[in-house]
Amino acid sequence: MHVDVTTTAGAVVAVVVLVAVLVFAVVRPYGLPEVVGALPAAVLVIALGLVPWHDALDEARTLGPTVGFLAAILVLAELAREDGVFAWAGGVMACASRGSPRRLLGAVFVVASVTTAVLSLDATVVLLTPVVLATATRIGARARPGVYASTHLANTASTLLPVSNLTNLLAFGASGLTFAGFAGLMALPWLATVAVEYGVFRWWFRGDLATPVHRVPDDAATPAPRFALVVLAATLVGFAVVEPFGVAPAWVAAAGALALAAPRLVRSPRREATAVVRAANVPFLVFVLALGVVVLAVRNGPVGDGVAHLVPARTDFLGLLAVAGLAAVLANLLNNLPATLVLVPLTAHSPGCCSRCCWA
Amino acid sequence: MRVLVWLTEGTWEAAVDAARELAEGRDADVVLLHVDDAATADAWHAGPAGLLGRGGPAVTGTPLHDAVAHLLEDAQVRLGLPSSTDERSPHGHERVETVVVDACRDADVLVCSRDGDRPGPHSLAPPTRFVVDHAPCDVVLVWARG
Repeated sequence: MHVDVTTTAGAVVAVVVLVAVLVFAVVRPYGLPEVVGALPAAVLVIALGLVPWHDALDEARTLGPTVGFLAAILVLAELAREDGVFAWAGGVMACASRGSPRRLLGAVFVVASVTTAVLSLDATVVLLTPVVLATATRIGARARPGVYASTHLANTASTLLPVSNLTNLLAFGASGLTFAGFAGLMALPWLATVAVEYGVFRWWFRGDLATPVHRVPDDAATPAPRFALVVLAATLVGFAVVEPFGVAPAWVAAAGALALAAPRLVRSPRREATAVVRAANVPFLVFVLALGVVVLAVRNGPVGDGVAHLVPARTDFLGLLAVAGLAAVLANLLNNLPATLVLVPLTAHSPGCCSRCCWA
Repeated sequence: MRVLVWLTEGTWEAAVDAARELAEGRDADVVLLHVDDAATADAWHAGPAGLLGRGGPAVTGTPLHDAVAHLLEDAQVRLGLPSSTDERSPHGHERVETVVVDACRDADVLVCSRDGDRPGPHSLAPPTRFVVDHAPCDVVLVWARG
């Protein structure tokens, strides 16, 4: 059976398949991983002829560096956790707070923003938020402001660097900016959004933040994991330094992950190699590739043409606002990842290609 | 006499100290009450849920429950008197303050703490103010202390 992607029937099938993939990913029946829905869907759109197999291969090739980076940064963050970086950060936040809930919130904002920017949002949600909860509990503060701050900053603070968010990397490749250029462009918006969010949190959680100052336990501070911190700093510098030479961020992140993994691999090769593969979350990587193919079926048909018509051709501030609004609507309808996959190729030559800040 | 002590993170110590003063030497039945904060639990679950495609096992319990268990243990130790614990969670459209008021129905006295340690309206957060206004029993309200 062959379905023409340019017909109404083709568009309907493509959209239904995409919606099914997203619904499956949100509902996760029986706790199954999202890739269980996405991979057969990708095979289906290829089998139906909605996406020619060579186009699917091209899409996978295009997404390859992003997926590679994703694997490396997931491993890097997990190894940093195992080396005690996040536990150390918890101690730093506790000491910086001096037992004050308000100062703790400030410390959480700084640490969560930096963690998100450098290690991407997954690290903040999965690895830092539990530490924030534990730190609040240790100093006798209420957990609510910190937990909310950490989970929100995984979004808000993910606009600074191309590596801060998977969708940044997708947009970065099409933007034509250098790594440092991207960071320079986003620095002020990043600071502004984090500052606004801090002000809102101080007001919204004023009741929780008014609780008394408690004594910080003497054993709150833990020794700094110097090697891991040096590797993370070198990785961050590496992103900016080698990118102008055409070295993809994935290789830099992989080098950082390898530096942290090497001592472990020497000690216990098989066990540590298994742990590294587990940390890379292969099902998620396959999910991203499969989702890219499914989205391609939508993008190549009348729906993609319709969205392309909505992208303004003008290159002024109003054009930027319009494409940011379009991105925001699509991201809320579809989730930011498929929205980015739809929009980046369509906006690659327009002023809005770097408007990911409005998507997440 | 049944003394209900409402424990909230950050201020529970003052309530426990006041309950000890009230119950010591009397035939008092002290119950330490904690009501889970559904908003914090929602925030806790919403983070991973927003990471589309990352998979992982479904989250069933949270460290929030462990933190509450530790808080109740610490409160019993600090009280130093025989006591029981009562951990509740709001259901449906219930709020923390309505659960506390409901728990007061069998109590003679409710002991709770202000949220802040400085005089003024902000020393009582809206849930605490609601409880003080609606509790059907006597209320002992103490200043929060670190």
